[in-house]
Amino acid sequence: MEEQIAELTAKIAELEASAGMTNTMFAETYYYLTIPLMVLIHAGFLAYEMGATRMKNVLSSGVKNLLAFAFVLPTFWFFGWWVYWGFPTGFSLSAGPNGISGAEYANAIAWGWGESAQYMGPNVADNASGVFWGAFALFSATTASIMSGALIERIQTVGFTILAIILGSFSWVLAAAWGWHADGWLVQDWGVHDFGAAGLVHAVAAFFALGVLINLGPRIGKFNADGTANDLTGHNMPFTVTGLMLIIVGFWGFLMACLIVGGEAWSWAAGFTTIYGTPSTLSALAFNILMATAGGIIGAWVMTRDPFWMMSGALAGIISGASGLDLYFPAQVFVIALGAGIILKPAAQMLENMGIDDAVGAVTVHGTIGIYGMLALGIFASGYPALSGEGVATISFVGQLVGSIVFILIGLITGYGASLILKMLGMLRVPEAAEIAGLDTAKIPVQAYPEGIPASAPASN
Amino acid sequence: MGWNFGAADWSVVEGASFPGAPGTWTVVAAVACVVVLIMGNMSEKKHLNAVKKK
Repeated sequence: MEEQIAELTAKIAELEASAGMTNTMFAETYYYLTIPLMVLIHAGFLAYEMGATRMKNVLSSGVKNLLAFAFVLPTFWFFGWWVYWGFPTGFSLSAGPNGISGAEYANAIAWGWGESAQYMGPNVADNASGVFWGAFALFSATTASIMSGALIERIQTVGFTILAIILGSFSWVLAAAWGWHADGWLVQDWGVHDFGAAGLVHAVAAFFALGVLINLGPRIGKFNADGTANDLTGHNMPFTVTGLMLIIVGFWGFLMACLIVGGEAWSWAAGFTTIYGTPSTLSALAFNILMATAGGIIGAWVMTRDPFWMMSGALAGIISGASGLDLYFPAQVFVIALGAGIILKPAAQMLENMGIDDAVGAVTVHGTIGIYGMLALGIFASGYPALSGEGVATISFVGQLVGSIVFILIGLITGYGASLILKMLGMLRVPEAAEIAGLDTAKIPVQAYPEGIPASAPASN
Repeated sequence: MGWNFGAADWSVVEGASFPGAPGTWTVVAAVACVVVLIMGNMSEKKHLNAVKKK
C-alpha cells in the first residue's frame, strides 16, 4: 500500500512538472506570437505613410519609418526596459508595494551588463524575459511609427530618428511605468486604468508628435497666406488604406500582449489578467475589438464617405475603446467607437484650422481619440477596482482625467523640448530647396517608380 | 569569448550563457549606434546642401 502511494505521489509530481512546463511554454509562445503580429503594425505604417506621401518623397518616408523601427529596438534594449522597471513610483526610483519596481529592481534585471545581463539574453532557465521585452519593444516601435506619419515630407532623417529614440525608449516608457504597471503611482493613487494603452501609447505618441509639429512647421504649400489650407494629397490611396488595414491586424497582437498569462511564477492569477492584475479573457477582447472596429468605420463613413477616413475610423474605434476593452459590453464599445468615428474628421479639421500640418491625422486619431477613450472609461466604468486585492484604488472620471493630463504633458513636453533642441542645432527641418525638389531626389539613391503611375478616374463630388 | 564552462557539454549550462563579455558588447553596440547617427547626419547635410546649391 505504501509503495503504491509513493508511486502515485511520484506520478502526480511528474504530471505537475509536465503540466507546469506546458504552461510555461504556452506563455512563452503566446507572447512570442504577439511580436510578429505587432511587426504587421509597422508594415502597415510603412505602407500607410508612403501612400500618404507625394511621389517625390515616397522612399524618403519609407526610410524614415524603417530607421525608427531599427533604432528604437536597440535603444529600448539599452535603457528603455530599465526606465519601465525603474520609474513606476515616480522620480524617486524607490520600490513600489508589489516589489517589482525601483532602481534596485531595474538594476537587477534590465541592464545589458553584469549580473542583470542574464535576464537580457539567452538563458535556458528563463522563458519569460525575452518575450516580455520583445512585446514591449514592439509597443515602443509603435509609438515611433505613430509620430512618424505626422512629420512626413519635411523632417530630416537623423533628427527624426533621434526623436523616435526619445519617444520610443523614454517618453512612452515613463508613461507606461506610471500608468501601466501595478506599482505605478497613477494606478496606485488615482486608479488609472488604460488596458489597451489608449493614453499611454497612443496619446503620448500623438502629443509628442504635436510638440514636434509646433517646431517643425507645415509643409511648403500646405497653408495659403490667408491661413486657409490646401489638400496635399498622397500619391497612393489604395496603399494607404491597405496599410491601415495591416495596422488593424497588428493591433490584435498588440492587445493580446496587454494580457498577462496565468499560472506562472510571475502571473497574477491562474487565468488571464490585465497588466494591473485584474481578471480578463481573450474572449472579452474578441467581442470588443471587433465591435469597436465596426463602430469606428461606420461613424467615419457617416461623416466622410472617404475610405481614408473610414480606415482611420477603424483605428480610432479601437483606440477609443482600448482603455476598457477588458471591461466594456460589446454594444457599449460599439457606441463609443461610433462617436469616435463621427468626431474624427471634424477634430482633424480643428487642428488644421490652428495651423498645424499633421499630414496623416495622427494627432487626432491617436491623441484626441486616445484621450476621448481614457475619459469615456472614467464615465462608464467608474467604481471598478483598478487593481486586484482589497482596498485598492477604483476607476473614476477624475483619475482618468489626471492620467490623461499626465500622458499629454509627458508627450508634449518631451516632444517639444527635444525638437526645439534639434531645431537650434539645424537638425530638424530640411532646407526649402530640398523640400521643393523632393526628399527622394535629395537623399535616396534609387527611384520609386521608374516607369511612373498613370492617373486614376476622377473623384465623385 | 567562446564556450566558458570548461567541458563542452550542455548539461553543465543551467542558466545564461553568452559567448563573450555582455557588458563589452553592449558598449560596442551602443557606440555603433551613436557613430552611425553622427555619420548619417553628416552625410544627410551634404546631400541636402547639394540640392540647395543647384
